[in-house]
Amino acid sequence: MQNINFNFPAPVVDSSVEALRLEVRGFLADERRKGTFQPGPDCWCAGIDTEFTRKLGQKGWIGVTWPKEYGGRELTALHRYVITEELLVAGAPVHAHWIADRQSGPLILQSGTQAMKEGILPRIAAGTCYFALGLSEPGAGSDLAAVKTRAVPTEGGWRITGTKLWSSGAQVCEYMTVLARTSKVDEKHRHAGLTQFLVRLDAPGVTVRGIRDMSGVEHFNETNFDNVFVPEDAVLGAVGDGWKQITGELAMERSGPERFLSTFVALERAFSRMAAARENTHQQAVLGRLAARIRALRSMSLGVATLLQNGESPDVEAAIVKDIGTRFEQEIIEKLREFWPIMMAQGQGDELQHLLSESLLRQPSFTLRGGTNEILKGIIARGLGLR
Amino acid sequence: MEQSDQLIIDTAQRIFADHCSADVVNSAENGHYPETLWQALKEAGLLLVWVPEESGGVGGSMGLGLSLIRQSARYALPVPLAEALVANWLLAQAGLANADQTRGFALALETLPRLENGQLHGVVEGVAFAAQVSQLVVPCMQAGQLTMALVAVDACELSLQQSLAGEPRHIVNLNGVQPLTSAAVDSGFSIELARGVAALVRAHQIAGAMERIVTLTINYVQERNQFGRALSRFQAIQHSVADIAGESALANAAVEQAARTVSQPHCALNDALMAIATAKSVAGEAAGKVTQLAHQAHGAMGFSHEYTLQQYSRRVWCWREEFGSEFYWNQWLGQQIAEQVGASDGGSAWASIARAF
Repeated sequence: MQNINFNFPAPVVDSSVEALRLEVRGFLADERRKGTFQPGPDCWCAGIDTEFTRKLGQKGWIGVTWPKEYGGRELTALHRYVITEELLVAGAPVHAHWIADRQSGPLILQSGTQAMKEGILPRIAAGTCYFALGLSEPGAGSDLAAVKTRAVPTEGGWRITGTKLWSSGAQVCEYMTVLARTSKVDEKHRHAGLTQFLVRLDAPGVTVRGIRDMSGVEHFNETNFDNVFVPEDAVLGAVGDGWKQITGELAMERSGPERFLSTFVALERAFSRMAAARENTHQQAVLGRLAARIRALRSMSLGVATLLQNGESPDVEAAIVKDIGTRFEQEIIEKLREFWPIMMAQGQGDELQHLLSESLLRQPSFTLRGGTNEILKGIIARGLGLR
Repeated sequence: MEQSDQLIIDTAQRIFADHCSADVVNSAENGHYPETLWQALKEAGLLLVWVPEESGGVGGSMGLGLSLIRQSARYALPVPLAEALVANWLLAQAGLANADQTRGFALALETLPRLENGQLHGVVEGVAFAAQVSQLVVPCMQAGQLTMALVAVDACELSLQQSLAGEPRHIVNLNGVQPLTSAAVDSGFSIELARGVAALVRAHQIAGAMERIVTLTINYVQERNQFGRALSRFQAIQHSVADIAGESALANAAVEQAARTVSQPHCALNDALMAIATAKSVAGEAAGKVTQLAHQAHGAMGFSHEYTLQQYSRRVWCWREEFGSEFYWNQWLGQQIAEQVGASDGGSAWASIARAF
């Protein structure tokens, strides 16, 4: 009988990790007092504040795991984890650098040219250079291999033509990593012939158009590439490596704390209200259950981070974190409705109401972005040997 | 895990595989106590994992014992290994540890029995496998002090009940029973921790049984054909099995984290209980979801007594209620966090959650 057991090893915590946590927490409390930012839900996607990101860069909290020669601090993945979770629970506006810190920087470290590493990574770490992801297209969502954007070789480089959709934050970004087809579709190997390019968003032929989401925020974009020239060395890694690169990042992308803490700011306020109110055992049970699940999800997420650090490939475990975690972010809001009904936009001046209404309007995206939960369940099922 | 720990786990694994087949589990329910299995566990010293070395035991960590218990639940072990471990652990808290006898424990959930003038007063319900051991460890109160009393089972009046899984649970009447020995617990030990560890043991059993349910379900949907193909080829089934595996994995993460927390030397009681509350809550909730989906995937076969799924689903349904259901621990956790939030200026729910690694 085939046995499938998931185990989640303990992260190795030293005192520097907790010292860093307290430093970040103290900084965020100060900034809150100064009124630098208003806490918001889904802050890693909806909260864009380049000034705030620059401050984080000055503190040395972006790209912390990267080599020192490229602006990093050579800290562990757990140090980065602690920084990101403290930023998320504070509801701080961190989207500007989020993608570059989590994904594009590591991609450049692994597959970029020396010039990219020297020219771009220190600026990401300083909080001044931002990235958007160019993956989805009008005709390619869950079926990412269906991308139609083409890159055609030309003298000294490539010409890119196509449209990318739903790229968060592209309006403030200097670069987009663009997934494009570099050879014809082979129906038997649909994932072959895809290449990632580093494209400057101010290049001639690029137009970025903001798209307003149902919550009223204009954070994602349609980006059009009309015969855009990129030099030879804009290719990330080798031609044809695009799919391998994208799937290689997934465990990291899917298992982080942003996959279960997007609505935690609302739950934190709810706990404050409950602490201040007369004892209500039913409410304690409902909120206590949410806290229990967060603790468990966090253990699982930290376990995946530890597996990654140990050089393993916990793709199935990461998909589980994201599947359960994102549904849970939505569930928090549904459970809190019982005690704090959500009707009014902006919450009419009440902070908890504001966080709840913003969370509710944003939550449909949680189970879609970065791979829908249906795609995730397919990955889990494959890992279990069912397909 | 240390090498010596792995050796113990491997030994247990061999005994479970050799002596705890599905038939043995069903026969146990029909009154044929699996003596061979029980003797094998005893002879291998596995009941003594939480007896200190100086008292003739293994001196294993909390983590080792809990791993062993989780593994035993993957076989629906129908003998009181978990109870024996907890009983010896309780005795050790009062300096009474020894390796002499097989024991269970009678832990009251609310009012503890009283020990006065050398006699116990009280009734404890839901005592697992009391008739299958020779002694019971009874946490009780003597002159306002938490005390461990060791009693001979023969001296107690037992009324037999059966758990949902057909396992014995007894009502133990301790009125007038004179303990074989008793001693006050070491300072720093509390009844809350005793109840917490009992809950954590059940959470580990749930996690282990769910791992087996995941495996049974995966195998079944691959073997069973309908509409000309294996059930596993249907996307609806794939997603359902993915949900089962996910809930099982989440419970694993929670019980493993709690095991680490209680294993830390000088772990604060509140940190231990918050980790335990998380483990029992998440495992208890997962038990409901996992069994529902697993039975759905198995169709009528899973509902039959002959097929092994029922041995696991009936056990997790029982274990999730014992020593505090998820509803009990949810409320406890919510109240604790609210108190911590209210206790200090700038106190936050997050600060209490982020203490756990």
